[in-house]
Amino acid sequence: MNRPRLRVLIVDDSELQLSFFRELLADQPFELDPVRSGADALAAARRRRPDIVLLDIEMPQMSGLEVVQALRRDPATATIPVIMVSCHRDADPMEHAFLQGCNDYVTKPVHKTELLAKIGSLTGFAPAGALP
Amino acid sequence: MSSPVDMQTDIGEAYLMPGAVHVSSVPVRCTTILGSCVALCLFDVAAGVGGLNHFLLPGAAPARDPEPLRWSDDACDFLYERVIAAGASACRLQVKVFGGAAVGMPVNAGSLRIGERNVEAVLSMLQRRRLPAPLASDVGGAAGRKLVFEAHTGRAWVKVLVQGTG
Repeated sequence: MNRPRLRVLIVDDSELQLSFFRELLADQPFELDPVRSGADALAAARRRRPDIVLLDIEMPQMSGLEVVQALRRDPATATIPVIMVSCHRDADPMEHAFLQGCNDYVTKPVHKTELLAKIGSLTGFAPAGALP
Repeated sequence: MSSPVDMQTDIGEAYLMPGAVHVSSVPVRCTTILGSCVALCLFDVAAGVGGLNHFLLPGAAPARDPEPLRWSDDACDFLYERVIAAGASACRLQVKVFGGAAVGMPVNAGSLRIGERNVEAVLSMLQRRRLPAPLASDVGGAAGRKLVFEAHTGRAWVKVLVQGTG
């Protein structure tokens, strides 16, 4: 019987960063859904209800903080776990991200073991190659 | 823990990224943000020396890992050695531990329990090094934390980051 695949919504305005995530997670039983804007992320989250969202904090038009706030306001998406992806080197952005409802964060450059461990912890799904 | 209004204003500031360690023998206030990660604080008030780490994963780093301080064993051993090298006395060291949440999740949910395992890892390091039990700790739970730690005094402040309260 096939193992169910984890639906992962990846949100980043940089195509380069989306490609990086596709390569990083290529060996995982994940169904990846990459989008390049906050508006697309909200639409995708409502339409396909991902198991988890990887969300860039710094995006034009709609920031990651605004996206997580909108996800939490909508009962259809309010409980989807969100891992914020940050490039900031100060406390304020991540403090605000937790206050808006993100579940955890990783910093760029993203490390695979760390990302898989956090995904596994928030979804109950044990990714291949994560912690024993 | 003291109220933030008691903080001195004439000391340095440092922000600690995940996977970093900061040790100081001069007055400095360190800030870090913790979700499932854990920060171990070690300090010797008499010597005015202290430091903290911010690790992400329980256990020892795999061989040739370019950033071993992301792992509990390496980060805690490194912090201990650096604090002693900076002039702290092993027999006077005091300990505080923070973090290890499962944010937004019922405690123990999730197959990997990363926050809980990070806390277990640091407590086991304290036993291995024969260090005292934490003088203060705020671990586990379902909310992130903002930690402010004064390395030279060992004073710590925690703001619990509950969704919708900011």
